[in-house]
Amino acid sequence: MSINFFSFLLFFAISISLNLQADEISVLPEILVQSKSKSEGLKTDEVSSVQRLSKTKLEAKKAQTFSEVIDDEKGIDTQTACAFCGTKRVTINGLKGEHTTLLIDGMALHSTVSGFYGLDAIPLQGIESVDIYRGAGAALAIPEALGGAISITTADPFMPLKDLNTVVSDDGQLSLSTVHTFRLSQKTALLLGAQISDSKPVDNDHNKVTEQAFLKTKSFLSKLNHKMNEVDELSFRFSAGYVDTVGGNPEYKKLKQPANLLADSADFTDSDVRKKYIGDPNKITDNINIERYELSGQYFHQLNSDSSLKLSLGQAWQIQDSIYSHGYDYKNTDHLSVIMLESTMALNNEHILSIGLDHKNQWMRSNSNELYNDQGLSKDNLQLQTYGAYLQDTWIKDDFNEFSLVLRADHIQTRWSEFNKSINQTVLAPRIHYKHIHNSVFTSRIGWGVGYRAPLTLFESQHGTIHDGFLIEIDQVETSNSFVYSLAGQRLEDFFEFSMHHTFIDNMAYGLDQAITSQPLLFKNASSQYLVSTYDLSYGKQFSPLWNFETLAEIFVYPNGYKEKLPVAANEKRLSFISNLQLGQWHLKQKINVINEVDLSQYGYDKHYNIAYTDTEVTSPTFNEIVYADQKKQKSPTYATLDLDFETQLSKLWNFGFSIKNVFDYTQTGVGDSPLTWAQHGSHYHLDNFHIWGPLRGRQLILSLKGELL
Amino acid sequence: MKMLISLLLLGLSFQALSAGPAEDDHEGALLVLEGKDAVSRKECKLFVMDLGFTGPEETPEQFYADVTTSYTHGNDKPQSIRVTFDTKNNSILKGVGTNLKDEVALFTEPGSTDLAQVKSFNLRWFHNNHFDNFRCLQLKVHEH
Repeated sequence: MSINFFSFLLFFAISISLNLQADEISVLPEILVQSKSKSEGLKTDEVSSVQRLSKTKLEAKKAQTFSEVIDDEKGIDTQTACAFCGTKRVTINGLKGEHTTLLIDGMALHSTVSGFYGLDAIPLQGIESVDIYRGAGAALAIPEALGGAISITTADPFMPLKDLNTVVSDDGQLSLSTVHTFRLSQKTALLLGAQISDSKPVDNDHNKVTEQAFLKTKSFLSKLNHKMNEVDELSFRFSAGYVDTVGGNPEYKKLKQPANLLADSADFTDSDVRKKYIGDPNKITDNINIERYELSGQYFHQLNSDSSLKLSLGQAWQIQDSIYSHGYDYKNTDHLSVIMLESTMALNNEHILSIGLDHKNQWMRSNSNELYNDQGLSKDNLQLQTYGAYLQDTWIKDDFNEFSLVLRADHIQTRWSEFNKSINQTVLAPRIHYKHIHNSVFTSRIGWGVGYRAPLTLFESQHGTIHDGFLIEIDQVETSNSFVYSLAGQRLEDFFEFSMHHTFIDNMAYGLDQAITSQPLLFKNASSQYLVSTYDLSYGKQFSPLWNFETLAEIFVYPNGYKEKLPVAANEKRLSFISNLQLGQWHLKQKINVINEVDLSQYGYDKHYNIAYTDTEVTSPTFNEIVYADQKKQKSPTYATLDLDFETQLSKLWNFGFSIKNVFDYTQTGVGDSPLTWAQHGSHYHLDNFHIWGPLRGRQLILSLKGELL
Repeated sequence: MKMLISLLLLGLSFQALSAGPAEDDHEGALLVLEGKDAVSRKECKLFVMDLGFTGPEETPEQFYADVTTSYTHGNDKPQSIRVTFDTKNNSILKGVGTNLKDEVALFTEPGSTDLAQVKSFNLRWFHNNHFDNFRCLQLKVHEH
């Protein structure tokens, strides 16, 4: 690897010396978004604080999955919650992953169930932009949005697109994607996109247990837009995604059935997870297969110059087929359908009124030979129905003051059929956003809003609860009150923004572990209110036409009782420095991320050990006593990662890129603290792979080729 | 020796009958001992279902007993196991289940075949795809 690295440096030095002409580059903070027509775009774009990630910015990340694309954006933390199964949680403002509402073309087609693995099935090709709404107040009329919302907008088929993207890395990662639009007629256009990607596992300590799983994804997107006439437009979208994850085992191996025995101390040399795994590889293997299909249609009608109507229908199916190293199989089918009717009208020069009605219907059915047929545990089947309505007024008082007021009302019905438990609750969710332009440089935004979520299932309900199943004592919808203040300043050559977000969460659902008394896991609402706060400060400057620089500092503050309910340790303080430099024909981007130390014991990591064994000699006076030794790190160190990206235009149509991700090759395994752990659980312990606090994949050399097809 | 043991158990069984049926008696058990689980502190029991000697000399080495316990998990429970004295330690009666995985050890007075003297037992039970281990302490004869 070092030879390749120095070869690259030599090549690069020669190439830049031959190309002294340069193009200017500019820093463009996307705080403000251009509005579309008055009645369609103004209500969300100009008033609320929306962070928009453009197609260019998304492609520059050279990511394979949606969770990678969105990671490290302001206020966003993408967490790997399990190194065996690879489940990802995308969090906003420090809230939990299930508190993020995900929309595609305005429709919330992802559920808590599908969000565990389904994010990797989202087709990246054909995404035009991603909008991030931090907090319920910013989300305005978007349903739920307890922590906020992420809205994906797919590309317009009428825009000419003929892209081909190839990404390969030295550790075996491969990604091929293409998107093409076809003008079928003057009024009809079609978009087709496809992607396949393959990511190899990581075993940095070479102990025959991986820290990151095999991940293969395939996705397909098709979108048809038809302009019936000047005032009517139809749009249809179909997407399919397949995700194949094999974790734990360094060989790509698919199990036909769960292992007969669980991994035990005798399966590791000296009972130490840092040493070689010498047991049956089947005992450490997780197989997860996901199939996801989405079908949606939208009808837009411009009633007149000041009002419009939009009808949206969408359905999503996600099928999961998995076998876990915990010794059981689990399958489910999750189906979700959405219907939305929205009308927008400009009442006068100051007020734009929007009215909306929406209905969501979700059901999930699961099956498991081991859990249900053999052990007789209850299924986590569920049904959810919501009926919502909202009224929004966007009031442009004058050139300096804009208000957006929303009142949502949702009736929520949830039922867990095997437990005969249900929730029947109506939630009122007022939201308000105010923008004040102080002068030509500074703008303030203040927001407040109520978010909510029907707590349905926590990590498939059965995962990790194989001994005794689970019980449900949830009887309240989760709600939040979120406040935000932000001050943004923008001049010709620099920008800055400060924001603070405070979210009060009530009735947060969590699983109470009762293993110490051999009782089932109990899903309940927390009686305490939790306050989660986020502070961020960003500054960027264009030092010269060829060089700009940005820095972002973020602090996430969590109460202790909240931390222990999170699936993995969260980032608490984060600092990043980004530099963009144009050197001749080469564009060089550097990003340094600094993550501050974290007290891991507050996240329940005090139950993680490198060594554990039980005295299994039945005649011994210390029979069944468990010996725990070498507790895993209880404080993660402050660390930094550096990413370098070099890109050049080979021709008018083709760009070539070379990246080095994680230049310092920093991983938590590399500093002696792999995610693999013996986890103390009640009166026993088990093997798991969730002692996660830092990077799991080391340095990667990535080549990319992006271009337009003729 | 066998006669003495039988008479002792007979006396206990009359006492059990006179007190009325206990709601947790294991049907057919010759002797029931109850104690507390070392971890959960919940009640645990040892049921002696049968006992005897494999030879006419009725030495401790020939003594056997078939025992079960009150430990369960859902609808599953350990099978009965035949115990004999450990050749290395005559204060331990131990046995392996017919599945060759379950194990139990009873701790008693050295060489005593009076199972009312058993003070504790250890159980290693293969259940589903893993072992569950239990220790039941402070055993006393179950009083009706």
